[in-house]
Amino acid sequence: MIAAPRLAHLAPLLGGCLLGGCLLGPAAGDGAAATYDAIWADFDAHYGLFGVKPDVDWDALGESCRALLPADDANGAALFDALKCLLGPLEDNHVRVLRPGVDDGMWTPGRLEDLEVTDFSEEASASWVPDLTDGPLVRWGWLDSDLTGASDLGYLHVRTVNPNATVDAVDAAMEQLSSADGLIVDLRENGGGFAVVLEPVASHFSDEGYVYSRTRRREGEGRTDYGEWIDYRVDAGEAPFTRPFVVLTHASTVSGAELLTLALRERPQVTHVGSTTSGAMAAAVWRDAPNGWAYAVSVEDARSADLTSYEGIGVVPDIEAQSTLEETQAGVDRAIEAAVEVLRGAP
Amino acid sequence: MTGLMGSAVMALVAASPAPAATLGFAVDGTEHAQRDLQASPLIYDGLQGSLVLEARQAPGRWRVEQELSGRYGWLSPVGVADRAFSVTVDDPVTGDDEVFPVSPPRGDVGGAGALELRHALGDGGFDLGLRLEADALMAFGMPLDRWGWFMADLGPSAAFTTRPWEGGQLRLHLTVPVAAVVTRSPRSLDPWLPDRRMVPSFFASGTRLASLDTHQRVAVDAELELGSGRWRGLVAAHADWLHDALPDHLYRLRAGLRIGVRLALGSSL
Repeated sequence: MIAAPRLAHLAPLLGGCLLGGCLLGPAAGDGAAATYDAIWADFDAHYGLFGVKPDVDWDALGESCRALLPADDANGAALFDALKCLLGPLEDNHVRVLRPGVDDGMWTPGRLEDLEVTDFSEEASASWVPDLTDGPLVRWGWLDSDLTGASDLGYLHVRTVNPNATVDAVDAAMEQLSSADGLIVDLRENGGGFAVVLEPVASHFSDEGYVYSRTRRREGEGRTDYGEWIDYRVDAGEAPFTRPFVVLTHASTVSGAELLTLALRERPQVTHVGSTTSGAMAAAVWRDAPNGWAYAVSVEDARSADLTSYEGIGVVPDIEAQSTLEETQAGVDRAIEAAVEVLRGAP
Repeated sequence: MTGLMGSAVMALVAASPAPAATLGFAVDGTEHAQRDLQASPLIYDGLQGSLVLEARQAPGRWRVEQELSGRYGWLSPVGVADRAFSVTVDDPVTGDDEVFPVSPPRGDVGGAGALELRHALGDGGFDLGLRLEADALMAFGMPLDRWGWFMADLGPSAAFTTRPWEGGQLRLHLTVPVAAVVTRSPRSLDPWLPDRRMVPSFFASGTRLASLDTHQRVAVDAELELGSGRWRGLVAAHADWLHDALPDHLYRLRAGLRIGVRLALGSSL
């Protein structure tokens, strides 16, 4: 197949290098070593979590892992291994490397890479909610009173906090669930999203404004030089749900969903049930590597309101409850069971 | 000799009087290559389509031109043979493996506006003046999720117009801005003060005044107006090159073709 000529290809023919430089800038090396060096330098300049990972010796890692690169790395396998060597010690689920043209070409150095999340299935959770309204952004309904032994307990599964439409979907669900005596807010299998979405979701449970997270970003030359803390706030909801509720999390509660967990944990009427969240809260940006691969860099230090960092650790629930693989396959959801117990015992 | 050529040009110009004002509408296809080192080391290239509205007036020896356009296009990295990623997810509960293709999409939406004022120099078809041009772009997709810039620049412009045959008018036009206001605000897209709360990164560079040492742009175009009646055809070729140095080097090279119509208004001059 012959590619159509592109303007970028023609640039050198158009007198390419003028005015002391080429029309589209100086050529960049795209070999394995050049790509490795560019990624190392990008993390060196922009990675936002060196301040909470003092054991990471970035200079030494850069040198030792670069030694893994052979002179000839035609298929990129050695580069992939060298990047795993370099980025692995960061243990950051938001750091990712995308290698094109191979099966399973995404790798993350966080705990999710090798973790098998076996404690959740939609079927098991749905067995508690006979008339479940199932949408792409939220699932909601009333818990089966025969199973719970209590009436008027609601269930809201927020699948994502990514598209803005999630806010409308949660608004619609909460309008129906506002009369509940107690509520389960399920944040399992939630890959995260953005503050502009999670904050209005959290407002449904708050009758006051408050800071739920504080973030700082790199400023200055040093790897641990940061700017001022930036506060992230939840505003008071218009008709907030002030009765008891339970937040459910597990290891696939990631990123923005973890920040939503932090926001909800600030409320006095909440109990956090399930298992530990992913531990990746700092926002990341996708970058291009010179060889056409892509990678994500965490570019901030995001913490809770009291400046606790959960990076690489995750938020630990008040009550641990999770199903084994066999239980999940059999339709058992231990986290919902525990949540119901909490709500039944609530005043 | 020069006098003879000048006379010939004057005769050509006189042969087809210009209208006092025109309104124009055109479609534009532009090949667009850019390299924004703040966002990526790669060159992105693609085709953009634009709709263009223009108005021109010629009161006496003055030439006033306004232009407004909106564009949409796609960009993809150049020289990257296979940019398709796949992610395999194993579901231990069901035992199923799912493979998700990850194809980084890239799109650009943008708009531009321009106001130009020139004055005729002598009777040879030369005009000289100033052009103020604003250009805004928002790109989305990988890398960086989304980013954009806004640039407004001001500089001298020159045009030479001739009528090579009856009913045809050829114009050559050059602009070299010398001062600019530039905002490069990846992610926040706030042209004035990038929202530090919404920009979880290092890219909030704000708005700055720029001069030739950090901002260079050259734009040339050649247009052919066909016909001398109320409705006139328009074919134009254009190209421009941009380099903005801060906070990191941005290069853009564009070349395009524009086809449209002009409606002559008012009496001929």
